[in-house]
Amino acid sequence: MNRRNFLKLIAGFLPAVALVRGQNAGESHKSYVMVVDVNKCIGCGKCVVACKVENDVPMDFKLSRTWIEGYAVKEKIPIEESDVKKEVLSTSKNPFLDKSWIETTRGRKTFYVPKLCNHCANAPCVNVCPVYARFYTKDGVVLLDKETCIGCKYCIVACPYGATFTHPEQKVTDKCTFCYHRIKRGLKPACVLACPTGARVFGDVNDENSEVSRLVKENRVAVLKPEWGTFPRVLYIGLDSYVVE
Amino acid sequence: MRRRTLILGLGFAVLVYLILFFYVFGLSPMVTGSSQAKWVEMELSLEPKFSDTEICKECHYQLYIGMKNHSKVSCEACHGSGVEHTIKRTSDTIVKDRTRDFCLNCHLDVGGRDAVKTVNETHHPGIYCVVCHDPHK
Repeated sequence: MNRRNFLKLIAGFLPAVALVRGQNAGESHKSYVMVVDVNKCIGCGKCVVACKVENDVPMDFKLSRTWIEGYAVKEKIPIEESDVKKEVLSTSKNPFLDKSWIETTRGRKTFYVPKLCNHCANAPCVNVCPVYARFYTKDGVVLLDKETCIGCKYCIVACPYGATFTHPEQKVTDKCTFCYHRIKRGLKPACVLACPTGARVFGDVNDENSEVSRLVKENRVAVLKPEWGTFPRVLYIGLDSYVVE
Repeated sequence: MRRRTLILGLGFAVLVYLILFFYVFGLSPMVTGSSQAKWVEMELSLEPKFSDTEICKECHYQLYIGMKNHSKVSCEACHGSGVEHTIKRTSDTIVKDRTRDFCLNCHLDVGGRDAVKTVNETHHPGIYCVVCHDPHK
């Protein structure tokens, strides 16, 4: 092979690569977003149970794709750390009905914050995954390829929201998928369906007429931990800044 | 002779480098997403376990139109996943919890529940709520 043929061979590679990488460019896609109204959440835990039933997540409530955090903040100005009390949904039935939580909330401003994978546009878990098991779909959902995942748990360390965990039976990590099999059939995610007060709303923000577009337009929305620069897809209405952890 | 060996060796090294470069940054199945596309198909093949109120309505229309207070609550919020029930249509495939604790899961007077009507334990303690209050009315 002389030099000319060698260069021709190299030149042949370039269009092939460009073709493979550019085949998905130029299409318009949906942009899925979940809007959570913190004022409406009553901490009943229906979403947690529904998610576990729908997605075969073990009924151990420490390992949840979505969970609820209850905050009890001392009215007036909280001045110590103990003035802000936080409780994570940890029992199976009637999560906040034990006496200690009722005592805690007495005389305090109480609110419940449902949390789940934020499906960040700049996701730390996707960035750190050494085997490219985590990826963005065309509509912005962050998915986890469980066949490629080696269970190294880098993503668990990287996620600022604590939204990922190791599945005890599959031995790989597991996280919320926005119920990808449901939303692609036009159904709501299981947690949105099970929410009795309508605190969670799911939809496509690229669609002007959708419920989430209206909510995002009419309300001031906030995201969790904006200083991480992750640009989450879970937006909160009425989020209190004591939700810092 | 020596010069020729050097050129061949260098050319071979460059070739290996370029092949690796294009594989890692352009053509490997992980980067092109062929393994990921396979996984997306797997995700899409999962069957939903929660149905929809629209489907419940087809059989339980009288309950559906008589609903006032819980009209915005999805059936499956209280009755659990319903796809099995839509196929078998027996009463043991759906959750019917009449206990007081089940109602108080949402309606107990805990702080932060401004969105729903709440009661505390002094309101007829020990009696099932459904004796007086019909949840479907």
